[in-house]
Amino acid sequence: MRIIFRKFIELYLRWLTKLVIYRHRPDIIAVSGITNKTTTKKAIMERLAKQGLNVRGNPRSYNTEIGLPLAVLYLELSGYDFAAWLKTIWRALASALGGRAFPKVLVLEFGVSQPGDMKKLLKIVRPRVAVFTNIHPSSFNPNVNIDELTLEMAALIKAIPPNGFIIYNYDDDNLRLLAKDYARVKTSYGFDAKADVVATHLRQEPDGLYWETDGRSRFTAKFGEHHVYAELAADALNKHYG
Amino acid sequence: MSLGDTIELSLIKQMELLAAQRQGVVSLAQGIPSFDTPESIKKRAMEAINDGRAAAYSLTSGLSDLREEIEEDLERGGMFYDFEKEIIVTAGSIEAISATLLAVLESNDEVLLPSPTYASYIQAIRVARGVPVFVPLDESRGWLLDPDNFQKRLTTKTRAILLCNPNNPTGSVFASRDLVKIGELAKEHNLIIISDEVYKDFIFDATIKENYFTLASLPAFRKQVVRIFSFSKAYAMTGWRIGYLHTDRDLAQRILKIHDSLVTCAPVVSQYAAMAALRLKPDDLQVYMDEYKIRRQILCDGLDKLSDYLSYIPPLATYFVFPKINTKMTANYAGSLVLAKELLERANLAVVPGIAFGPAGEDHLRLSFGRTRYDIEEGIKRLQLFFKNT
Repeated sequence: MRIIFRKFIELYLRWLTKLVIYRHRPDIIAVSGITNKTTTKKAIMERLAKQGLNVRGNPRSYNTEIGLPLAVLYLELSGYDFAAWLKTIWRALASALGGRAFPKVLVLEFGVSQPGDMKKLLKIVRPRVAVFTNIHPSSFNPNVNIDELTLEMAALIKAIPPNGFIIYNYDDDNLRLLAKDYARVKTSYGFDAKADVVATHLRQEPDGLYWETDGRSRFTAKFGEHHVYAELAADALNKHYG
Repeated sequence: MSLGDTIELSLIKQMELLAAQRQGVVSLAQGIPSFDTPESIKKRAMEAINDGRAAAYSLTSGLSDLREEIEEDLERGGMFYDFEKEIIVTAGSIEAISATLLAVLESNDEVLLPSPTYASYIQAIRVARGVPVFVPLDESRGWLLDPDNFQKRLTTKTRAILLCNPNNPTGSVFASRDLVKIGELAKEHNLIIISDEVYKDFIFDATIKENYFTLASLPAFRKQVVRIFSFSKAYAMTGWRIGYLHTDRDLAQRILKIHDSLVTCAPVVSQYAAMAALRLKPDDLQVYMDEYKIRRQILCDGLDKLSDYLSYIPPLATYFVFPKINTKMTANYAGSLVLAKELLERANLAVVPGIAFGPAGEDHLRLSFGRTRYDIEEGIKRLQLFFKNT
């Protein structure tokens, strides 16, 4: 019974999500990879918002067959019991059919932890742009190997429409290989000088990280190279949106 | 003599063990929340088990997804640490403390710690072959730190300062100006500050909670401070043994090696549970805080009726009250340990003697209001009977 109910919820939310996307036609950017999706998503959202675009993202945990539709419909799961689900069903309908204001751009995390996850997400939402962070063995699911995860990313690349493009981390060997076969528009980022958007002169100081991109000094009060990668991904995307 | 021959169980656990052997005992001793772990946390853990994700080791530092979420959580608190190199998921806070002490101490190095403070720190320091040096807190100022007292106890062997903030057992929240002075002292003398903040979510006053200060938020001290948090108390997860530490990269990598040799990694099922805990909203936890506030009031009201025997400073945080014993009013008083044992023998009530928390804790008792209202009310009744019959 629970399985049937869950299936019903998934189908129902998927249908409403398609409806709302059809109505508002937002530009959809998928951020995928094994780690650093949330930081990259946030950097992209901040950058696009600075350009005056109305942007919305999904919370980290909302990248499942139920979570992703809820994020697009701008709803929160209010619990796991039957009453909470009924409330969600009603709110989803109201959100899909009512309300005219909708963001111009959706930046959505596409998290995968096992084979087939990407296909499920793509059934719900078709992005025009894909941003890739990295592909390395996932500690999240030890039962899945790197080849399977790479195939998941390849499925997302295949789903990008002709008017779309991909942004990828040039320093990641697996992503570089994947992108090699992608014949359409692509922009890379990384510390490698061969990337399209390159970070140089990275140094860590007590107050944060300093680096340079395109001859400009950059700074973040945060620690960890992944923050630089997130900013680089946003820089790379900016080249298309600027 | 080996450590196994010289280290004793903390008095908290000793009292619990004694209490466990008695029928009808009421325990206000060990700091265990009476609540069960929230449903969404248990659900996530069960999913991980059923999906076969919890059977294998994680990376030594923990699941990268969890560490990323911890990094984000820290960011919201104004602390910036790299999940890849500066955050380690541990088997509770005591493993984090032990791993840190083992990583930084040489034999007979001294560790300054406020007194009274959490009893198990003393053992953890000794396990790391260190020497605990007690620095009394100022009871007249509500059990606050006195940085001058720390300065006075510095020697060439001092290597670390171990703070519990908010402090167990006193329930005090240390002032930012005192903490900064301690930070400056540590920087000047190249000391490590271990800041155990397991009770940071148990601050009852909204303004104090909002202004809560941690040295880990100041970049100037990031090389000095190892900040530790545990999911045990705030999320009623004491049995899951899950927590984390964060500090500057070089020190974190030194601690990681010890953590690896101690436990390989934190329990993986608990790591999934911790991920769900981090996704709870503040409102989800407010219900617990509201209940603890009521319990604190019940305990304090009960103690007010015993003012001839016990006086106390209302705790600003934690779920403990640490009343001072009026030794003159207590017949044949022979110290807090004897009194605690008498309470257990004659009143069937388990409490923790203040001496468990260091010398400045003597002549006090620690009472927990983490237990049910019934336990607290019954405990107060038994205290009243006991004191009135002495």
